[in-house]
Amino acid sequence: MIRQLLRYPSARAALVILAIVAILAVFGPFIAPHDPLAQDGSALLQPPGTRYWLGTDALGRDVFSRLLAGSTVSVLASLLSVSIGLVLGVVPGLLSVFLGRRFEWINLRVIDALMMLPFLVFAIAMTAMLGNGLVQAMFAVGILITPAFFRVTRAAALSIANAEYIEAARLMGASTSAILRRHVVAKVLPPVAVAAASMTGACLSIVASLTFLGIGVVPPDPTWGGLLATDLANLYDRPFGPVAPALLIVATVWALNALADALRDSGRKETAA
Amino acid sequence: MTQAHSGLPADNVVTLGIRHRRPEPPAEPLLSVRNLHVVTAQGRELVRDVSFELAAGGTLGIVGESGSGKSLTCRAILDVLPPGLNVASGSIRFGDVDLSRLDAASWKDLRGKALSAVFQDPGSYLNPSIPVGRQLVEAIRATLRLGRTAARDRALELLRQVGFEDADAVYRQYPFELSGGMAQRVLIAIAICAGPRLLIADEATTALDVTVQAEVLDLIDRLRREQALTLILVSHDLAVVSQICEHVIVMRDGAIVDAGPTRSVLGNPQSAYTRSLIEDHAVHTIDSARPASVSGKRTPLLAVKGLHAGYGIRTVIEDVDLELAPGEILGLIGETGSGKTTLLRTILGLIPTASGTIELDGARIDGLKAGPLRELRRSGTLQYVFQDPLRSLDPDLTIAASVTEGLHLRGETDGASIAQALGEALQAVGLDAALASRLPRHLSGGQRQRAVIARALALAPRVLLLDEPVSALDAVNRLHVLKLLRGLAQEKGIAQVFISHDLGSVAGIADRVAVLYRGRIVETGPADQVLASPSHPYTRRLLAAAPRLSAQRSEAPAVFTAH
Repeated sequence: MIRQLLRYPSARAALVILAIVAILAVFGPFIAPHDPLAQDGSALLQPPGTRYWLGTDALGRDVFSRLLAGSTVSVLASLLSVSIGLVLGVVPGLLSVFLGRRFEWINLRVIDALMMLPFLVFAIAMTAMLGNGLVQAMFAVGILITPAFFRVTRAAALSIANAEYIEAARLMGASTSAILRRHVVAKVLPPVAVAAASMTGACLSIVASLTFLGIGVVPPDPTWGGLLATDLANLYDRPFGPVAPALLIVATVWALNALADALRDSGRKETAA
Repeated sequence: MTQAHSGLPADNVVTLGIRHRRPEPPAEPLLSVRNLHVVTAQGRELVRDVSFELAAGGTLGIVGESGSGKSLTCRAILDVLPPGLNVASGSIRFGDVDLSRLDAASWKDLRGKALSAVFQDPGSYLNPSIPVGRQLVEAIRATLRLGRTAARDRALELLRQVGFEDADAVYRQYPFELSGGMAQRVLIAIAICAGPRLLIADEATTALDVTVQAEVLDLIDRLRREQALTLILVSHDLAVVSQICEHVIVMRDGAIVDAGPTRSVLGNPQSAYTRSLIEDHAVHTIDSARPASVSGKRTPLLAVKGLHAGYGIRTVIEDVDLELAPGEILGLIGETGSGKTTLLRTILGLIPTASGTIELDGARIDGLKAGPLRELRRSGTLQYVFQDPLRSLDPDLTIAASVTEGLHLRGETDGASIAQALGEALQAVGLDAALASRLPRHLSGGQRQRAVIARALALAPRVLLLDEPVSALDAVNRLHVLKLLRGLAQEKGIAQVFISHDLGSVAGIADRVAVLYRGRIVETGPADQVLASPSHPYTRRLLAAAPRLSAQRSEAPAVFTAH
């Protein structure tokens, strides 16, 4: 599977980018050259230089350090959403195919209802209800991306639910859970992995959007989206400011989408062989 | 292709110019294939040094099993080889045109017009979301450049020509509303719409029932005579080809092993392979039904009484009685839709019974609740073998995992005893133990079907229900699997219900035969008796439609005597 994947140049590039982002997310706060919250009154709105590599913001904080420190929050937040979406989407998605019509009907209606909710507005409403925190916001996002995982899982499961080998297993006395474990899960995982990769990218943009709007993360904690927002506010003084956080967001989202595409293509080739 | 040609055919290649034997001097052949080689990108030769000539109005049959290169030869003629395959050398001349040197634009004027083809699996060649009439009109307008109304009239006329009495209704129908035979007729209509000179029918009747197959063959033969078509009929079934074709080519491993007029090839085969094909037929034809070996009345292992079953309000099975003694093989025959599969599925508990009883070893197994039903299934007493082994094996599981699945489901955890059961099951079906670690797609069709049978055997069944277990296999593999099943009945006393639309297979294996017609058993009795002297008109019709080797038999079945 991995070897298949590495045949795609885009997948190799994506994995390099994601590895860098992962290192940033884990070690970012430790390798930051400055305290991301420390203010240097003598150096406000500095351009990139030797002391402050990416310059400073309006309060004299080191932008590079803030970017590194913000990685952890941004990445963890999107992973949290995706995990919630995975659990809430994949399990019912599988069971809706194998547990009978009534269960299926209820599931489909709940998912339909979820699909109607607008992303940002729902997330804002959740934080208004549960308190302004990133965990609350990402929980809301996780619920909202559930339908994507549900649909993908269900489609994959439906395509094999009537396969003769599943009937053969049933004729040998296999229970539904045995059938799921032996025959279904392994075939549903590849498309789910594709969905998870592209959804992580989407969540990253949502985290950025939410933090850009000031939802989920309270100042002065840095995030990628929050940095973008302050940089945009100071666009006149630091016209190059938004480039670094924007580039980081774009690169990571691209990498995740490229990885998702490569995963899908390699999976398709494997089944075709 | 670098291999040098000395001008003499290679040892195992019989090169034979086939000419039409008519009193008038033979004209220039319509199709002439010379030293054709088809190779893969890796240089493997799939078609080796194939040469033949076909005169205008002639009929040529190409026989061989899957992978013998017969379809590739036809595809090379039509220039529609699968990606990665190329004609390495040789020439293909059609009239005075050299097909191997034709560019795409010139092909457009030939293919579908002067040269036309029909393939196996008609359903996949029709667009499911467009009524067949419109697809036919599309073909007519593309080839004949007719106006809308004229094309429609021509389409209706063609539909009538291919045997649809109600052409107007068929015109408006979607492909899914047609049976396989009807869809094949529509494709034949499309193939002949531009009045081709050469028609290639590649396994065009293979997926069809015997009765439908006979009708479609009859149609092809009639159209050939009416429209002076030159015909190439490709089939794995020697009998099918011998019905229609004046000349026959037998192919194996990409090369021609036998060629000549049908009568002389059948009567005096030159190669051992052709002889074995003819002998296989002799072993498994409806004239070779075995006398009942199970004598006397024994307690039935499986007993079905007064069974009614169906889907929802539709009754498919009506008042069926069946008895199966240990070690007995019951052949169940009937056309598609007669309820053969439904009957097996009802016995398995996949379809609820409406009334009647099913007893296995004296205990009722109909209407079981989920728990006892699972117990019964885990016991493995009753096992089912599917038609298509590729679809009934999980593509991601190794053969070993599939074969031992039932044992694991039963809750057996002892690795050694599972491994032993696996070994025994594989040995019983004659499958190399080294294949156990392979995936289904790495096995051949015959090996896969053995694996499926091994999966059933691993659970030590007493009754096997086999749904068309050999119809996806070629002649040689079919014979092996049939022998295997026969051996299981005799040595292990495994009783079997054997469904097949191939009456030859049934005759070769069954002790008794039951004929199912519209959900009812219209005739039952010892195999030799039912097949030799059928009493029900439906059985007689089925038997008449079965293809036979015409060289062996003096009288051809009625449908083909109108030559």
